[in-house]
Formats: sequence, C-alpha cells, structure tokens
Amino acid sequence: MNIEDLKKEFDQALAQMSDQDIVAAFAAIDCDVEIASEGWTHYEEFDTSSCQFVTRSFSAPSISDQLLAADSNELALAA
Amino acid sequence: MDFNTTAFIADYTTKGYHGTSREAAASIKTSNFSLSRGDDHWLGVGAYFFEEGISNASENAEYWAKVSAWNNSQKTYEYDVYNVLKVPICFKRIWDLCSREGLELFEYARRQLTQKRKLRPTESASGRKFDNSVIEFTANLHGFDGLRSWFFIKLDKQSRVLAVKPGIPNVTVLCARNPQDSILLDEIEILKEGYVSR
Repeated sequence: MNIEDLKKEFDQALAQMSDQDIVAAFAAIDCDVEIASEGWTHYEEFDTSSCQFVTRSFSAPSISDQLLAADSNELALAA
Repeated sequence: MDFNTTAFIADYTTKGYHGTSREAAASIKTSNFSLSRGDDHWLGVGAYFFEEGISNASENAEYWAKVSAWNNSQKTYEYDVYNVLKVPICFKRIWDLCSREGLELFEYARRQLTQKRKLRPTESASGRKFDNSVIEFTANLHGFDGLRSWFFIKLDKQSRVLAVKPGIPNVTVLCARNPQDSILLDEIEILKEGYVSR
C-alpha cells in the first residue's frame, strides 16, 4: 500500500464520519476540538501586560464577514 | 543507517531501550508496560522507547533514567537505582514519521481535518496536544499499532538547566500503542543497572 492508497483510505474513512463523529473521536482521545462554521475561531495575540501569548476568540461579526464586507464596499466604490 | 522511505512498515521487529527505576523495571518485567499519558507526550498515549538511529539508544535510555529521577519541585531524587531495559518489540504496522511518506501522511491528515472538515483545537487543545491527537486519530483509522519519529529530548543536566530549545532532533523514539500485543515480555533484558546520583 503506497502513500496515495493511504490518503484514499483516510479520505474514505473520514467521508463516513459526520462532524459530530469526528469531534467525538477526538474527545475519546482526550482532545477538545470544535468544527468551525467559517474560518478560524481563535487567534493568538501577545498580551503586553502579562508578557505572554493569549488565545482570543473572534467576536461576531467574524473577521471573514468584515473582510467580505470590506471587499463589497471596495467593489461598490470601484463601480 | 538505512532510512525507510515508506509511510508504514508491516511486521516490523526491533529493539527498544527504556530507562526507569529498578522498582519500575521489576514491575514491567512481570506486568508489562503501562500506557504513558500526557498533553506533552511526543506521539500520544503509549509505551515509549529509544531506538538505535541518530544516536546511541541504550545511552539515551540511561540518560533519560537519570534525568527523570530528579524531582525539581522537591529538589531530590525519586529513586537512586536505575535500570536500562532492552525490549524486543514486534509491530504489525508501524507508522514511520522518520520517512518522507510518513510525514506526508501526517500533513495530509492534518490538512484534511483542519481545512476540509474545518476542525479546530479549542484553547485546551492548543500546542503539541492537537498534533498528538491528529496522530492518534489517524493511527486509529489506519490500524497502526506503533509509531516512530525523531525528537529533541533534553537528556543531560546542562541542557535542562540552560533551558535550551534546539530544533534539530537528537534521538529516535518509538511508541508502542498496545504494549500487551507488541512487546515480548519474556525476552526483556536488564541491560544495565546504576546509581542516578553518581
């Protein structure tokens, strides 16, 4: 079995799993994950007061929504 | 040293070297290895060994036994006598992360999960924990009972005191995911016994 066969095997197994199945499989190996509805839900930022990286969540509207909106505005202006 | 090129090796027989206290070694010889767990573990849950490769495996196990004896919070040794065990291991399918294809499979799995299925680690699963879990998830899907990879592990007092963080690996590590099935318990040898503080 070569690498391409292994990739196919992986894809086939993954295709049979729902998002909930995958989250449950990771939970079973003691890893807390989530399925993002779009884009990244968390990002790291250097906190100058504590002098360490902290994980922050994107707040609604998401960054991707804001970027899309910005693109639309630019398109509207261009038109 | 010959490098394997394939993602996994079927029916792979090898010797693993494990350094631990004399008491733990005696327990292993009668009851086998217990599974090692922890967020910072290199390849997920399993029993860990050094293998001959980029450095001397039995020496690595000896250094490991010595540095592991030190309890830094209590500033004392937890055991005085260590053993180095030479352990025959038979893997049915070992995922070789020392090979190009082995790494390619890991990268493919990580991308499919994070980009195609939009899987994200939560805050508690950041850092090495998420990669370890992708390894375990993928190993479960493919029925891999063992893993091999290169790592940098601090094996001497100086590197621990100086808190060095080199990026180039110094040891070859094996992980037996099902020690009860992979390890030939009757053939384990005590290769060396010594004092940690001398």
